Amino acid sequence: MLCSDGTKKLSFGGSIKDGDLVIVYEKRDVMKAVKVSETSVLQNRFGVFKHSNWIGKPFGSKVLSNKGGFVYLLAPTPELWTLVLSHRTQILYIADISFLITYLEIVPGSLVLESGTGSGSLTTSLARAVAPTGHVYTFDFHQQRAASAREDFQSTGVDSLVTVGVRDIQGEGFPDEYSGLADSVFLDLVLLFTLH
Amino acid sequence: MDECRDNRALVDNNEAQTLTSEDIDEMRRQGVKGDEIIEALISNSATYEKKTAFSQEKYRIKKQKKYAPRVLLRRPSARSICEAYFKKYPHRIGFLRVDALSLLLSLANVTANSDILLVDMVGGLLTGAVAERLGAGTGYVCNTYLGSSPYPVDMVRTFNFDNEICKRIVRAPLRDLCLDQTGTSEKPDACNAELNVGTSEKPDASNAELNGQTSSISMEEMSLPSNHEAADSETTVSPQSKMGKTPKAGEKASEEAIKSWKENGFSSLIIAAPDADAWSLAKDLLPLLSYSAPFAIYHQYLQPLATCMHNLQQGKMAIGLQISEPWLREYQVLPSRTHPLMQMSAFGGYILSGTKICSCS
Repeated sequence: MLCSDGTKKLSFGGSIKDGDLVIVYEKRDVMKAVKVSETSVLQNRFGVFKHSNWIGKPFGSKVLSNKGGFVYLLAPTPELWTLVLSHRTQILYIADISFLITYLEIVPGSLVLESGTGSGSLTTSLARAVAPTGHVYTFDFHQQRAASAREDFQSTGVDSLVTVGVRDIQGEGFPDEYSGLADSVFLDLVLLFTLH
Repeated sequence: MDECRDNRALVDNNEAQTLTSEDIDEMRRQGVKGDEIIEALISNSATYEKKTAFSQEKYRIKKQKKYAPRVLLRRPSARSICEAYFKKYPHRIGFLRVDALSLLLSLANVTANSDILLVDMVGGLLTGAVAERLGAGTGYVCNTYLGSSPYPVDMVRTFNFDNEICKRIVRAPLRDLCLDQTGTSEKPDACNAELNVGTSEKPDASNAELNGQTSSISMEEMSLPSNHEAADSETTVSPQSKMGKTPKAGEKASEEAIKSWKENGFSSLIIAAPDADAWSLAKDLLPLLSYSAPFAIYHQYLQPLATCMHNLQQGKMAIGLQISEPWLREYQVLPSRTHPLMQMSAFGGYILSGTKICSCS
């Protein structure tokens, strides 16, 4: 999704490769994230789509099914990801996410602390904002959700920018090692008024 | 909170305060501190004790603003610059409210190491905000324009960018960016048409800028007409531009960069052009984007965006098209007094966003 390698530039000009994450666009509110694999197929109301037909085509291409129906294959961005990710918790959407990032004055290189990770919707956008030299330390008190979030960040390719910890921030606060280092802190907690 | 006081006995006849302005001036001359003046005003007010606790606090804060003001100096950021201009000179930024600006940055996937194409007719606020998110490193923010005169982007200087980031901010006229692999005769109409319109409309403005403002150093650099003869002399531009401490943002894009953009396309496009037609810009600029690149177009009014959206759909140039209207409400947050502010901005403009697609089959 992002270029953490400073020598390469973010360019959608590349073609789809085996193992890439693509966003399959049927229409505005029907989209799905799919991991491309030589041997897989996608089946929907338009027919059967072989992934092997996708490999080598540019992102943004229209691809056909066996029945002649079509979908578009888009390159993932944090916005598209927010719309297709699986909801383990209630998530933040683009309107709030975009406003937050401007308000927190997050720029490349920033160190950001977040609690709770939830489904990683905001986290993915935070990763984009701090890339390539910054980092997001995000925490959730739920072990399984933290693990699912880690998996998602690997699929979307932002795992080098995000570290997920399992911790109850409300009860314990952020780890001391970040004391005095964070550029921005975002809190989305359950019982805010009991914070000290 | 048990509050029994109310305003039934308060008469607004300007007689409650016994200290006169001469008394206050005298106190100031004697070097009395602001906080002490405030205490004096409170103790000399006949009605202060009769006010509710909230009212007393409001009174105190009002006096503090006048006699003991406090300011907090902060590093400028896209947010603070946008908010300041929106409050004071909104027309200069095309009424682009901070939440609309934030949406543009997100919807267009602005990030480090990317090439972002901009049409910034909002004084440079957009350019600065995009550059802030682009950071140093590789990639560019390229400001493009119809005709031969770039739009003024003075506000970029307010961001205090260092040299590394300034280097990322470049400009190129649309006709230089247009894809013309099949020869000059194939250039889109707009490129040729605007060349004529641009040079006839702009010369007076450019001259005025050159002669007038010695303070807007970067503006002078950028209003020099960019034809081939001037291209050479621009590098040895007037001494005034060298004397400024401001690093140069907004230099002409290098041939190398332009070539790379023609080959790979830009990774996103943002248009904030209140005085231009959205569709005429979009139809010429979308071809310059990579496939699957997102774009976002801001306009103060809905109709031009609706027309643009319709045309993009007809021409099958983009998908995921949507028009958003950002909404922002500010709250006062105080114990027992949390409520929206009494006035709210209702006109933050609209944004048309979408993703460019490959029209090949």
